[in-house]
Amino acid sequence: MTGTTAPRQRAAAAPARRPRRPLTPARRWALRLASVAAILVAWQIYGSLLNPILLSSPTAVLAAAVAMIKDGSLPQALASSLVVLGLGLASGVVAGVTLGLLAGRSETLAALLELPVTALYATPAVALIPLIVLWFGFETTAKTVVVFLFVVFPVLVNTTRGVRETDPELIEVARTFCSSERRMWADLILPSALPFIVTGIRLAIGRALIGVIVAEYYTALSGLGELIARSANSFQTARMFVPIVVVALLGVGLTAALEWAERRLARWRATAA
Amino acid sequence: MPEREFVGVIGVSGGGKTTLLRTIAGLLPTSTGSVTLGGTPVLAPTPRAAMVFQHFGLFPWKTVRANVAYGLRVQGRGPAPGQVQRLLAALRLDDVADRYPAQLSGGMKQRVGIARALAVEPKLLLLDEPFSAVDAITREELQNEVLQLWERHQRMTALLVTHDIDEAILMSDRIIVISGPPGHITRELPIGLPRPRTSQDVRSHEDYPRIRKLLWDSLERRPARLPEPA
Repeated sequence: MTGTTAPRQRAAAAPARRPRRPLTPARRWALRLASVAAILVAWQIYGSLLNPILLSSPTAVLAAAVAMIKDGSLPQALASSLVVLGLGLASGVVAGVTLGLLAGRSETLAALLELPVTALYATPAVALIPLIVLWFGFETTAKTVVVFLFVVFPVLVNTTRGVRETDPELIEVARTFCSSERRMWADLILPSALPFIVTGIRLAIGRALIGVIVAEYYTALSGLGELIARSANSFQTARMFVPIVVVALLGVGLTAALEWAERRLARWRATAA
Repeated sequence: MPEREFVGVIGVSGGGKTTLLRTIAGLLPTSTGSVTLGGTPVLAPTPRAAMVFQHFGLFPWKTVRANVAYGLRVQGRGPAPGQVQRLLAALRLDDVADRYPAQLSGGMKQRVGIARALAVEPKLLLLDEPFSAVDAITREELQNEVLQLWERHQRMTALLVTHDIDEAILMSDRIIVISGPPGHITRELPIGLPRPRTSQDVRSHEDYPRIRKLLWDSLERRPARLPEPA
């Protein structure tokens, strides 16, 4: 049964109910923008009724952003945070995927990793920051380590799970055709683990952004975290919101980039429907 | 098992048919006795045997063409585009060669499975209930196609595991019945029907009812005990 005929038959069986059609891309974008617009309008209206220290408003935040770009404080802070984010996210994803793939294939490694990983995944990484500072100082290295700790576990756990979920029937197919272990990775294990790896990275992006701000707060104050802290301390609420919005935009942008990469890598799923 | 013969194995579910097939494929170890192929024992999967799977076992992320070429590629025998193209044509898959399995019907998926097995030019073709997951009309089509392919290039031995008596009669030179305690062979029956065959002329052959009855009787277990009338 092909996917194209199924909905039509369902419609014929229950003529009273309209079949649920997937949203068209244009409609989906309209809905996305509508929700953002609604939030901004509500913020603008409610914000202008209150003391600007308590909430500020989107227009005031925009004006503050322009000013902070002009005086160079925002680009400088962003660059500093992006270095930490990039290094921490990249090293965490590489380590998480590598260890996760190995743990998925090796029972021994999985058993060795299980308790430490579960324990560290559950421990708030913030609690480890004093120790990280003792070991790595206050600068970029320490901050990268904090982000790494936020990132590595969800990637590792999801990757292992993905390797485990490889269809046993396909493993059997590979074995009857006398596939080598190396070829089995390329033909079978990596493609079937891919969606799980992507899910792990998606979680990791959110956690990495938290990690960057946390690291910038609790080690040497720097980057976007510093901008947030200093603006808040001096009651410049509009200026405080600028780096927060930038972090949110980074999250949206990175997630969109990941989805784009996944679509490129898994074309077979996009065309399956 | 003589070479170049088409052997059918029938039996009820859970009777050990699939175990037998998987042992021959080298996927399972033997508990007693041994499996040999062309004189050498089979302890692990061998490139001389290829299997068609009940649930197709296609790689969803590979196109039809890449699935058919799979066996050749993992066995380091090059992409062999000519060979793959020939099989795609023989199984009427040319039009869908660049599609992914999720875009195909069950019958088409199994055509891919069959082409993939034939591509490695096995000495032994193992068929694990290959037509049980497709609808009745497609099943008959596929049976006839496989029969034709096999009759045309009679270079390989084929072993078909099925629970469909008619399918076994249609395709086999010899039928082995497994029933009773798991793995117990209760009957071995040569099928002398003339080749080439089609489902139409096999079913109208005068010997057909007799063969069918013989097989059915040897499959039959103790009749279920009916409740006493009150």
